[in-house]
Amino acid sequence: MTEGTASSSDSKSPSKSWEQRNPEIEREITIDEYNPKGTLTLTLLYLAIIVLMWVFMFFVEFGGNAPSIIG
Amino acid sequence: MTFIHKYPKAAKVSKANFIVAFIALAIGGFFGFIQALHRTDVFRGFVNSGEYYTLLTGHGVLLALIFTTFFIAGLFVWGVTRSLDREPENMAYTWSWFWLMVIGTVMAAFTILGGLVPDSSIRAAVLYTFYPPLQAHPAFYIGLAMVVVGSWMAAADWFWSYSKWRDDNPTERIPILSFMTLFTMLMWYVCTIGLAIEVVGLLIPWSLGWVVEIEPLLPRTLFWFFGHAVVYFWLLPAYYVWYAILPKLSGGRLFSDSMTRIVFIIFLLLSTPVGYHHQYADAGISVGFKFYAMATTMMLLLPSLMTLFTVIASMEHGAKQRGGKGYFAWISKLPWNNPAFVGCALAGIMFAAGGFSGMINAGMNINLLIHNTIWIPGHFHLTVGTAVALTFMAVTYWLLPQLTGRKLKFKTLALIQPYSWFLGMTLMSNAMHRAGLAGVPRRTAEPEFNTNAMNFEPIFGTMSEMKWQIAIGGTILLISLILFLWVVISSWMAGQKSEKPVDDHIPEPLSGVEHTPAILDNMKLWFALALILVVLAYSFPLWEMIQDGIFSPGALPRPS
Ligand code: HEM
Ligand SMILES: [Cu+2]
Repeated sequence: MTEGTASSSDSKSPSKSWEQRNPEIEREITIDEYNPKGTLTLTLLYLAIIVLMWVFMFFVEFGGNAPSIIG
Repeated sequence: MTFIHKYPKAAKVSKANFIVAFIALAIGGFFGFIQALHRTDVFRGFVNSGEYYTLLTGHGVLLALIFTTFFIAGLFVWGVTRSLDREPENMAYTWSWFWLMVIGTVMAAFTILGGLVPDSSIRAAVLYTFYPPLQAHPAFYIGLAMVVVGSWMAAADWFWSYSKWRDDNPTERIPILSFMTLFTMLMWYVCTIGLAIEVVGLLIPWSLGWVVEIEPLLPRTLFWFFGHAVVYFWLLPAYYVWYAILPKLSGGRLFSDSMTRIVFIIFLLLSTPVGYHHQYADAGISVGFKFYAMATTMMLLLPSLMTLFTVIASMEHGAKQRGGKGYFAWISKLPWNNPAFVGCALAGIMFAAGGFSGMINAGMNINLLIHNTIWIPGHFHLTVGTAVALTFMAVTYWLLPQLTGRKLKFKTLALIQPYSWFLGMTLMSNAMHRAGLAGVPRRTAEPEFNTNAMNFEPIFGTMSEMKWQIAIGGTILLISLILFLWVVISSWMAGQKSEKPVDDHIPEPLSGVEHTPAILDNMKLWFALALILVVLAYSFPLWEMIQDGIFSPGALPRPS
């Protein structure tokens, strides 16, 4: 997808070319080429930590069979 | 051409809001530093322990309410103007909400600071939650009410711009910056109903002496009706920056337009009904309602994970375009030398860490372990104190040039600032969490004399090590704050003038609005659903509470 097809007015297409505006960018990656595998790994990692801590919390809370507000 | 040249009137409004926000940040932050030294007994020479609560009120109110609200107003004026390509409809109206909020702020601040004047009868040491029976001077409540009314008028201003834009563009989709603004403000309208009823209906008449007795539970409940959602009133503008601006700063594009809209809708729906999760320890509310709140709170994990995914995917896209590779190696290709980027990214990392302690807070039973301990400030300095505050500071480095037409000065100091905030907060917050587990209370000038636990027993580490971490962390935070103010003030006053002081172009999302289902833009539908969920969560318990009269302190401590 290129800027030209943009339908929202958030972006006012400037006159300079894409390369001129983004000198640090080596190559443009389109949606079809892009595969966010790093992101997926990080998200799953975070989810795994949350779940592990969740399980751990269960033992902290109920392991000792102490009274609780639901009990 | 940058923002100030295209929209000079809106730029002025944004700047005015930022000035108030930064003054509040400076004063509030300085109080935070004093607190960190005082309550750890590192240095108690600034105030006496009675005045501590005055400072703590000033800190909480100036930072959590005033700094955030004004910054958000400035940010949204920028975003709405830019994305709808029109200046505010009527400048007299726009300035009237700004001045109303300023007068309200001055009144509230004046009553708080009155507590530092010996023998003054004007005081407001009621802390950030202003629970009765702690009572403030009426001008405190009236001032805060004016700030809230001003914010409603500000929101109306943005809806006004939107409806005018809609007349000219009947078929276009809501531009994403405006979409995020409008949904945040819809949520704000819903949640401030509770606050308005509390302040106008209960606290003002009571502080004026018209009503002598007041029940504690009803105002607490109304406060937390607002109190959780206000957290999202702070966070959604930070998300706004992460969704709309951070991808650009990373050299990429927003990953998905529709994902962004869905996340904002879920927050509109779920932010208010979960308020009881702040009242797990309050008697007088049935366990069933607390349980409902816990379940809805856990559902908020979904939009949070979606945000995590979308925002990181946008950064990865940027890094890959800059030549990044692999599963993790791309991270090093992110612009870690750009202060605006670094601040947002570190804020996001801190927020992820805040998720861990948030999960403990949300659990109905385990919450009792940390309830009213300093664990809680440990948690919210990761979320509002860093995720929000650091994002706001960071994006200022990018917005300020657009609003003033001047380049940023002292880029190295600006770069040190977010890193030092991160460091200071890591020290202060981890020590607060651990001290909380040892039972150290929050909001206590001299916790060492806490009668419940003369000897706190840490699970690991020592009390004195935690105490020093809090004090040193607080000091580093103050230094970071001074760096921020220094960079901002000098750039604002003396930065080099330029037509294009910063690259302000925001690229289109990778997966654009043409893939976004139209129903997501149906504001009436989502607003109505949000109201229904609130009624489901709140109507019955509130009705129970007012059974025996609205002001009656004789309400049963448990459901009848
Ligand atoms: C210079 C940086 C900061 C320092 C050194 C600092 C320090 C502290 C300390 C030590 C407390 C605990 C006091 C107690 O419970 O006895 C506290 C409370 C609090 N802080 Fe901060 N803080 C800082 C920045 C922030 C920011 C940026 C925000 C929000 C935007 C914030 C919001 C709060 C709130 C809401 C409270 C609780 C007030 C209450 O309990 O009523 N702080 N802060
Ligand atoms: Cu909450």
